[in-house]
Amino acid sequence: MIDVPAVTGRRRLAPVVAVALSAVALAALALCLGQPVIAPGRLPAVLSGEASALERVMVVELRAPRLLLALFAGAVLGAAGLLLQESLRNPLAVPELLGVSSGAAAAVALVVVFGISVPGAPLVPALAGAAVGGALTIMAVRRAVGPAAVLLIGAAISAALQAVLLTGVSLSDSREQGVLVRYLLGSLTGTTWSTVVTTVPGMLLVLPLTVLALPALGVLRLGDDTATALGLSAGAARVAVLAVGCLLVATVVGPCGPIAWVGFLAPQLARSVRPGAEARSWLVWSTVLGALLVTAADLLARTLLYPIELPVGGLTALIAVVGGVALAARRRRFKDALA
Amino acid sequence: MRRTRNVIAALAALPLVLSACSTAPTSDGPVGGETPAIERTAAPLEPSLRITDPHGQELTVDAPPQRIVCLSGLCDDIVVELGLVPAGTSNPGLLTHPALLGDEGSTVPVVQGGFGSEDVESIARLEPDLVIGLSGVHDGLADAVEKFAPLWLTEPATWQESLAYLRNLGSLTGRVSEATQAEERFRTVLADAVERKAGQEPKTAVLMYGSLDSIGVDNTESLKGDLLANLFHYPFPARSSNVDTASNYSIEELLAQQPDVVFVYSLLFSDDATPLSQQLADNPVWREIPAVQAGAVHEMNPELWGKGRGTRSLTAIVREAIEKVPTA
Amino acid sequence: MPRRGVWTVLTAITAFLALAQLMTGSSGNGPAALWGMLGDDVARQIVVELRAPRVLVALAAGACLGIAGCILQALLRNPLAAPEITGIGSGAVLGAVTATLLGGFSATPHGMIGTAIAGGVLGGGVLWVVAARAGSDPLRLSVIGVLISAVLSGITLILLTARPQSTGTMAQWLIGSLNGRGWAHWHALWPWLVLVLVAGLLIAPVLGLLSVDDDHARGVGLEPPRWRSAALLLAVVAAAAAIATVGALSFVGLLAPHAGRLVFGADHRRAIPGSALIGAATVCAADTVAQQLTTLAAAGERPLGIPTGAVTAIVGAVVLIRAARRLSTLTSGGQS
Repeated sequence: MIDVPAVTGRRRLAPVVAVALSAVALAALALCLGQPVIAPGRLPAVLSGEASALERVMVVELRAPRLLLALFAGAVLGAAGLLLQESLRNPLAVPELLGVSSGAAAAVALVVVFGISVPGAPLVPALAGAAVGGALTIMAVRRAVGPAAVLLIGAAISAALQAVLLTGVSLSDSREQGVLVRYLLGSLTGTTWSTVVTTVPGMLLVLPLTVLALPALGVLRLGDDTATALGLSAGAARVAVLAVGCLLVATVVGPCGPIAWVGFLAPQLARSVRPGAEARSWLVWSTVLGALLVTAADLLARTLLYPIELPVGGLTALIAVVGGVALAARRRRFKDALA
Repeated sequence: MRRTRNVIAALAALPLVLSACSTAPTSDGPVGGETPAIERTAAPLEPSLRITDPHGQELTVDAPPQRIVCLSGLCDDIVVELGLVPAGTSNPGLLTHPALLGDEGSTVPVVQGGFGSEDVESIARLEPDLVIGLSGVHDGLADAVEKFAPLWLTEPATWQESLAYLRNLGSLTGRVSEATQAEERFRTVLADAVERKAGQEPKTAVLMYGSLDSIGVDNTESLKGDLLANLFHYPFPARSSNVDTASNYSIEELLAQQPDVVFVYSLLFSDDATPLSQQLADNPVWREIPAVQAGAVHEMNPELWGKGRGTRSLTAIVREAIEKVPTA
Repeated sequence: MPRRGVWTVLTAITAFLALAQLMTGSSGNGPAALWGMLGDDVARQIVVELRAPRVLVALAAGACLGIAGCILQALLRNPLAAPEITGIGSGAVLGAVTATLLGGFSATPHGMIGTAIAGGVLGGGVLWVVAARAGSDPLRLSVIGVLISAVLSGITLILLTARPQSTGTMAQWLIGSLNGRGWAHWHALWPWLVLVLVAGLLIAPVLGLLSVDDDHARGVGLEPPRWRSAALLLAVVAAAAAIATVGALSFVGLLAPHAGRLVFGADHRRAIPGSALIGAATVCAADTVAQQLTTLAAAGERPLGIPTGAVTAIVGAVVLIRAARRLSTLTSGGQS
């Protein structure tokens, strides 16, 4: 009798401990690996400036800001993925299939190729593109019934926006292509503290909005009919949540490009860690797991074929789609979405 | 939980698959080091309608080509070296550079379409008797272009190969004396520069392109990297047998080599008010590089340093490099 | 009688668009220019060696994409299915890009078609294997296709970033372009067109049954899985042949069969050749527009080559959004 709460308590605690440990391990690895490899034991010495200046610069000026940006970008994408999935009640409602990511990337690419001077670039065009892509999809699917129909229309719109992006790439001068490739596949290459200073505050501003979106999620969970019966507008709630989702995705795509499919896997992982929990709990887990996912993928991108850096967005696309499908295929809601 | 573990195991296997697909980097051999003295005279050259280029490709023409359309910077350069003017170009920026034709080059017709996707019809309309393109970029146009004129795909990886292409075209056009004179001019400039370097502590240099976000390095298996390795200590070997992936250097590696001189070209937003040297100086990471501390970051003309592949461009590059880095 | 009238009108439109494409190019537009060019030696060669094969390749590639889309839409019972969102198109693009990177024989028009078919079979094969495990429900199949497509295009983009110098050239494959297509491309492409057209017509009655439901097919003694895999392979071959020759022209494979069904109804014996014809006309028209835009852009500061795929993508997206809204009832009608 006494055991029962203890066991559930342990069960509740185990994932927290696991996540905390892997977070520490990942952070340490991200700071230590590269050239030169720094033994974890020497990290304090390097950080306090007792080691060589070069090592300090590597860790403090290169690896630390990159780690930070990876964490924040992943957290934002994880949160955005959960919001989109919950609001459309479809595990496949992800930024990549709603035209949000490709809209943002296409807008930034066009600004770069045609040399349009936009204040607040690349964030403002990314935001505008994400909003346009999302709005197009929402408009197009308004009368569509069934998650698969929504998904296919979204995929087609994403494909169209991707084509716009590719047109931009093929029109660009060879010297712009290095930058544009980032918008085909997200990348964290070249992150410094100045990148972090210009991007992370925006993410910090937007992340709390997810908490504001939670009540709207509650309304949507009731189902459209029940919500209407209670005098609540499901449509307005959905638009509000989607708007927050677009905002979140744009803050990442602007500086880093589309780090693809993180918003698909992170919520799935969150659901398997806390099955049967509230959306609120999933939101927290999805945020944390998204952060870890991007950090881990970036670590792989940096070290797998060292010294060649893979674009992190390509890795996340491979890992997250395969992993997400494997996880989700066992869940009833996913099967419903497919059938 | 076990399911989750299966998924994680599957994910862990992915990188293996990925890495198996890619080319393994070859070992980093020593680079830079001692450069042998440069021969100053050119070997004699005979006119010929049949040549074998440095990559072993054979080319036969019916008559000495007069109307040459240039899709690659090498072509613009060697055509001008031989005292001709291209019948058309897709590199107007390079052709009008003072090292080539200057303003006079603006009268040369420009081929329509983007680089690598030039409009074949606008090439054909120029009635060329030879079209010179870049290997790996213009291969796709070969079928269509060759209905009108031979398409010669070139890609010099060393200055010797660039000279060989010059001699090839000199033979074809019958302008052998122009070719050998141009060769000797270049050899003299390079030999002088190499001799000047001898007996001094060589400086470590790097030539890079792109922007702060994505940096490419001209490694020692690229034409300009190979050339600069004659003038400086240039510890940036190719990373793999694949020339194309070899240019990817991480900023950490650049830092580790501590270059004294940095040449940069072709930067995005280069019209920005802040020059890159200033951007680098403001950047805490780049500030750790001796070149940045000493203000030895030089912005070079992207047309010349990026697209220039022939002796005129290379001569100008050697001169500019020496001018920017006066020896102590 | 009216049915024959539809065919005549459609053929006439296609012929008109093909003629318009023949009259378009950087050395002069319009019938007068074309007439003048035929009188001049070099200019006649431009017409014979560049414009004529370009028109033929446009027609053949458009027809192949139309057929591929028509088969896929019947197979997946979904009017929004198309090569580019089922993993088949992305697989073929991956094959074509790999072939370009490898060079040698694989980069010739014949070799490209071979590798693209291999890539398309990879995409379609994964789709097939996953679908076999998940059950053959068509909507499920489309969703799985979207996910396969995401993975395959991720791999393609990683390959692209590995070769920054040729990103521009490679992007031409991803978006689709007809520039520089000559007789060699036509010679490589037409046998495949004939093959898929004939096979498509032969398989059309079965497709009609499969597009309704499996029980109908079983009712007449067919084995749905076997026929479905054969039809899928046919769609792969059709899409891959076109993509290997001109790149992934987006939305042609989506819009042509859609329009084909509007005009010819659900009978696949008519819808397949109809989609082929409409696809051919679409690509001709798109290439004419793209060439005109390229000529306009040549006046600018730096020359721009507008790829044909840019036109199909942008026009396609607009049409798609309008179609998708009308289609939504159809799409949901597929599930029960």
